[in-house]
Amino acid sequence: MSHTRSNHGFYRVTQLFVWCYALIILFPFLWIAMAAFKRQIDILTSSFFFTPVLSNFEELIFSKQSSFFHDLLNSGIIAISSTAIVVLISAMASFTLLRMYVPRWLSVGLFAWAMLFHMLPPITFVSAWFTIFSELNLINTYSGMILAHVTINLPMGLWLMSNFLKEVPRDLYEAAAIDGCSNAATFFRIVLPLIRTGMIATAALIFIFSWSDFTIALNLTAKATQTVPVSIATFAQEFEIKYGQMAAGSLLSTLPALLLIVFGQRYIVKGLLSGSVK
Amino acid sequence: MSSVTLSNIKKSYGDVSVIQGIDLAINNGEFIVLVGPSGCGKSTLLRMIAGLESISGGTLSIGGDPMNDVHARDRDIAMVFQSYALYPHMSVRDNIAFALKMRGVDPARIEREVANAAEILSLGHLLDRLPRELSGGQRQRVAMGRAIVRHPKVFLFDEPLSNLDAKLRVQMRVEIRELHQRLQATSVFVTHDQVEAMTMADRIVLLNDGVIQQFGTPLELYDYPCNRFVAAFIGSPGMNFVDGTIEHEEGIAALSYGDGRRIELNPEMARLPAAGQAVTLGFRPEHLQPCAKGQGFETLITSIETTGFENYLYCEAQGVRMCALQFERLDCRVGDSIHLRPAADKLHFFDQVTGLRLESEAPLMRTAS
Ligand SMILES: Nc1ncnc2c1ncn2[C@@H]1O[C@H](COP(=O)(O)OP(=O)(O)O)[C@@H](O)[C@H]1O
Ligand SMILES: [Mg+2]
Repeated sequence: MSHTRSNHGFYRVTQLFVWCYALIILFPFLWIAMAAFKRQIDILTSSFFFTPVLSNFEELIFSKQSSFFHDLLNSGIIAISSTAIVVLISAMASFTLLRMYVPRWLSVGLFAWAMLFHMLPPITFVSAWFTIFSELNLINTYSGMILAHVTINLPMGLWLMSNFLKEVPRDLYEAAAIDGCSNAATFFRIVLPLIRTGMIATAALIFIFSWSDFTIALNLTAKATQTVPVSIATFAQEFEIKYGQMAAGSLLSTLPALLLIVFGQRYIVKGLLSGSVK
Repeated sequence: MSSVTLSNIKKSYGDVSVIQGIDLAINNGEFIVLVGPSGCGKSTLLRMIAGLESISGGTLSIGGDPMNDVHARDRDIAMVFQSYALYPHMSVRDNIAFALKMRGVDPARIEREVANAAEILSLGHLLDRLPRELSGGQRQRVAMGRAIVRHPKVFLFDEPLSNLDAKLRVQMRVEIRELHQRLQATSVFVTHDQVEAMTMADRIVLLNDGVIQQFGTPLELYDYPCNRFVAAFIGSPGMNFVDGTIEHEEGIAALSYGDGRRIELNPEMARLPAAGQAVTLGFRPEHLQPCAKGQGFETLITSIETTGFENYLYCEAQGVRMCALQFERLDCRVGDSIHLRPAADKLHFFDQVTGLRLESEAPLMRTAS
């Protein structure tokens, strides 16, 4: 692509930039990945050369005290349910706000509010939620956690989905209306199939937010519903910090995200870069 | 099929009035073309008929039934969009069948209708393709197919040919006309192209600034434009205009323009505007012919265009520019001077102030009808 000398120089610089960035991201990951296969003594002495062992994973998975698998299941239930709800609500909401005759001040107001809400750190809500959820017996329940995650991630979902929705040409709604579709039929038969890649991209992002949430889960869950990030943190709260098991747990917890990226990459890139139609 | 009646239809967006009281009676089975410059409100008017735009005032009825408050999906109209608006995720077959499916028509009949439409539009071999796998002309046909399977009361078209290249546009123009001959469905066709209007319409509605300028057959608009706007809009290259004053001297009428130049007018003309009246004289390029010195007026050729069979001379006289159409190839060049004379019985007069046609009755020309 680079034809001229200056272009070539620019290309070099951007390449360097990308590699530096990759290194910054990859190095800690590599460090954790290595730690997962080290013995505690190797970690504490920071030895670079070591004999890989699987003991951390064995502890994590087979030990009687470890609830890692159970926590993984909790994370899965909460992340999948809240993601599904967020994507569905935000798709329907953006359709309503952008394509039906909603007063402008209302839709603009809602989008602005959503952005403001998203800018506040989750910790600001947590104490209020704790009080409310205690009253409603929602502490340490799946419903409570799902509700909290839906609330916190809906603004992001709304913004993303509304952008994908804007790419569906207005003519199509009108053609659908003339062809005899009600609003619901237009949404399910025309809009939904066209924003599918956008929904997949949004779902992947929301899933990862929900999966990696620590603040909310720490405060609103206990043993029964605690999620993986909380579970990983517990290794550091006892008399010693079990670095090896923490690393092994972290490594395992990235698997769903990695799988999503490997299998969903096509949709995510397509969805985030080019929108859903065309 | 149905008649469509608009009475005092209005549309405004906030304080801006876009359509200012339109009265129109479209007969059953008629092919109406709505033409006008860009932004004059054609689409808005069409979309009000479709039910995609609310009606700010007046009454719309289709087949005698008031439609103002009927939802688009219940009006039983079909529309072909400029963008075609095909559903990108559905095959051609599903696109065409969609409206029937939504109305719960039984599958056997849907299949028959789709096959029939595909046959009429020669889409048979494309039924399983997706819209993005079709050429512009094919998409256009699918959009037509989607409309005809419905057997709607009214067909609406919003500039459906403007995304096609020139050759295909001419071809589709003919096809749509032939389709109309065959289906005899009431149609309203919007375009900004006066050639499309002239060639396709049973009757033309010429719109400007949300007001109907003239409603009539293509030849009525061409031969008796009722104001200067219509005269200028219909025909390409457009009508020539000369502003001047009518003079009657010794029984000879003439238009005096520029610094005292005169164009003699036919003394037999039934109703010449009164002497002293400031008028705009109009004559079409094909009615401006070379003549001997001493007759007509002298002009300077500024440019010559030829298509092989038509030759357009662009000339200037006293700061007035005009165009003459010749079918014979003249031996002249840019910079030559040439004497031209408008055919005496093909003149149009318009009021300089109001732009309205003068002597509107007793037309000068009668076309064989
Ligand atoms: N939603 C709208 N809000 C405000 N003005 C509009 C809207 N839609 C159209 N207009 C105005 O109405 C006029 C007519 O538009 P339109 O019917 O699309 O013109 P045409 O199809 O003849 O080119 C234009 O001046 C346009 O700016
Ligand atoms: Mg238009």
